[in-house]
Amino acid sequence: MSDSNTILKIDDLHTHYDTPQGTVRAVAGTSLEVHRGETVGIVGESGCGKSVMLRSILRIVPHPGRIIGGSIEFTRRDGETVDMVKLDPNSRKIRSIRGDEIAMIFQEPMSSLSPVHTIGDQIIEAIVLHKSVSNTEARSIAIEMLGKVAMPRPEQIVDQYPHEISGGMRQRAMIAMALSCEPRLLIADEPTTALDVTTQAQILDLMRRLQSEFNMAIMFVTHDLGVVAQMTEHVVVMYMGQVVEAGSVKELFTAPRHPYTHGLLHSIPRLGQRKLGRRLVSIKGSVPDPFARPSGCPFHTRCQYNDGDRCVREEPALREVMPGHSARCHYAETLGLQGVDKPAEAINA
Amino acid sequence: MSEHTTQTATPILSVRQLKKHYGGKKPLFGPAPNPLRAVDGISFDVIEGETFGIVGESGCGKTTLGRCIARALEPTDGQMLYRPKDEKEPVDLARLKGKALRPYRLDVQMIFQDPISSLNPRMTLLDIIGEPMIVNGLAKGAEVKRRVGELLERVGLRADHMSRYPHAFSGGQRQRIGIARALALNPRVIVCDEPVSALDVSVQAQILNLLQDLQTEQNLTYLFIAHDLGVVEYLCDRVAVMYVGEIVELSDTERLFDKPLHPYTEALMSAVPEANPYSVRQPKILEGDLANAVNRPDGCHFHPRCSYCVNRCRTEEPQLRELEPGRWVRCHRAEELSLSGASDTLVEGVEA
Ligand SMILES: Nc1ncnc2c1ncn2[C@@H]1O[C@H](COP(=O)(O)OP(=O)(O)OP(=O)(O)O)[C@@H](O)[C@H]1O
Ligand SMILES: Nc1ncnc2c1ncn2[C@@H]1O[C@H](COP(=O)(O)OP(=O)(O)OP(=O)(O)O)[C@@H](O)[C@H]1O
Ligand code: SF4
Ligand SMILES: [Mg+2]
Ligand SMILES: [Mg+2]
Repeated sequence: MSDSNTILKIDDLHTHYDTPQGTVRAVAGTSLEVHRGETVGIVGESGCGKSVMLRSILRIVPHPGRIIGGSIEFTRRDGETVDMVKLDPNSRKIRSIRGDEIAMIFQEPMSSLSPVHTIGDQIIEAIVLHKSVSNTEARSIAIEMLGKVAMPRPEQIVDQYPHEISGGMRQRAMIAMALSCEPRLLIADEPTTALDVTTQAQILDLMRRLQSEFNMAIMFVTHDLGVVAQMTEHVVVMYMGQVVEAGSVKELFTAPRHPYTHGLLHSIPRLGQRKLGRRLVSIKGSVPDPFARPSGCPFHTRCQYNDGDRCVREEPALREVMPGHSARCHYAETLGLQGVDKPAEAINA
Repeated sequence: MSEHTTQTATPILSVRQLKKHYGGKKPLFGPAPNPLRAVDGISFDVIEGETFGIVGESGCGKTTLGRCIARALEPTDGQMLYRPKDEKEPVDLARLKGKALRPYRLDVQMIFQDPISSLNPRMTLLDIIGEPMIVNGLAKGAEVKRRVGELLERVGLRADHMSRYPHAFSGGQRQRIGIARALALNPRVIVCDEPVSALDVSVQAQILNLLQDLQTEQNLTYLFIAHDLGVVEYLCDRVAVMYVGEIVELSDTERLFDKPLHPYTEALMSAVPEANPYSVRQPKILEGDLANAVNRPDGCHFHPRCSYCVNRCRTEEPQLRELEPGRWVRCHRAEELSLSGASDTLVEGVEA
């Protein structure tokens, strides 16, 4: 159901890792859509394939991972739609998209910042690659950008090496690098996990501002359901390489349709819960061995609604439960799962 | 009674006037530049078996403090008095070096913030977790494999993962490898630096419950550094709030979240994003220049960003003082201000 407003459309993407022990289906048939100027939140179990999916978009999946099927259609600035899967990962075309039209903030800053170059050199390199400016101009853009991401002492930090600054400062350096090229699509993989909440609020504000200024779309992977609730319009929930639920943030939080989403919403240590003296609930069991995917519904081994029959035999399809809200559960229509409270005023409205 | 706590229990660790400065050495010519005061005169006690939380702005010195305590860094000045298991007299970890430090080093372990840079990419999990056990004579032969498998399963990974290398795991899975490694040496104190921030909420709940169970079983003491105030409130008995290298507030968790005494703590709590799209918090925005650990403002180091700042704050530096039993604060106006707690700023029924 793609329309002229769609900037990215992933369809039935499969990315696998062949290892001596067998094949890991890290991304196992993911489909999703991102519209211009919107923020899509992506949540899911640790290890469910979020980062691999994001890396697939930019074609930077590390060896031995490879895309074995599906398409990733990206609409470029000039209106051309390209299937990223079909491009040669080293081609000029893809390099002109990466960093310029699509920028990525990586989950672990240390794994993507070079330890032997200063923060400034790395940002400047990114800027001169995509903009026709001199090194001196690029340097002042870099310092300005560091200031915008709430970095203290930007004039000094610009000349420091990644190991000389704190975890959250590294994360901000990477955000500055990604945003310095005014991308149309920002892929943010856990961009604020290393930040305190006041700094996080500043960064989220900055992203919102750039979003309205450049009509930038954002794919926002985070484990923080508070950030999802406050920052995104649409949410995609993943489990074992697949989308298990997708919908508007309000629908999905107040009336989840998949038992896994329901479990997530009830595992959050919310402020004020301590007084209740409760132990945190978590979803029982752990993610199954990726080499031995469960039959039927991949979540059945941990699901309290498993019927022991259809759930074990038949894999549910992702289907629309109501307009704009889809789920991958045989009983999505009938479970009546409880989400977070919807205030009375909002119910009447 | 000891400083900064009213508990009568003997502390397992007493940190006194701890400092860690970077740079500031006098060059051959010219005057010495200002050092970066990452940790600047921090004192607190940790009671055996408690979870002591440390929160604060990114870059305020939490990791530096944690690394000093685990002796992954050498402090510039100050004391860290640690009370070993069967010894009456505390030893000063800040002073010990090399061989003399060895026996105590095992007792204090650390879960590192950035898992990828703390795991050797050329070692399998078996080596990463098992080697320190062998080196320190805690296990040998087949026993090593068995224990590594056990530890991996405790942190929610699989025993058959032990032949894999760190890069074959997701961010959250690597974080759990770090937790397994810290547990392998039977420590008494664990400095947990953002141990659950890379985990989804369901695995996070499992790990937090695991940390609690281990604490009860083995009487472990945790220093718990985290940005997620929901997690901190849930897990910690007491919390220290840091701002540019110093403690600005120290309190038991309940009173801290209910009614903070320092304006910075109030701002922090008001910025917590609520996990409900129909509720928002009214943030107490921090205006003004960010904290700068090289050139700290005169007077109260927080004053340029504080909305309660008066003249005295610009010139006179407040000291950390005990306002109520067990509640320490570094603010001139703490008695007269009535600050908002975590739930006071929450507005329900307003769309995010
Ligand atoms: N080199 C590799 N070899 C084998 N398996 C791999 C490799 N790299 C990743 N994987 C597997 O792919 C799966 C998906 O990993 P990915 O990093 O996408 O997870 P994620 O959803 O981003 O998790 P997290 O929230 O913890 O970051 C994981 O189960 C991981 O073990
Ligand atoms: N090796 C180093 N050389 C120079 N400065 C350093 C070094 N390591 C840390 N710093 C500085 O010390 C200060 C404190 O850093 P630290 O890593 O302790 O912060 P943090 O509170 O853990 O932050 P975060 O929440 O972002 O992890 C920062 O200003 C940082 O730039
Ligand atoms: S001492 Fe003054 S400036 Fe500092 S926190 Fe208190 S009111 Fe604000
Ligand atoms: Mg990831
Ligand atoms: Mg840190």
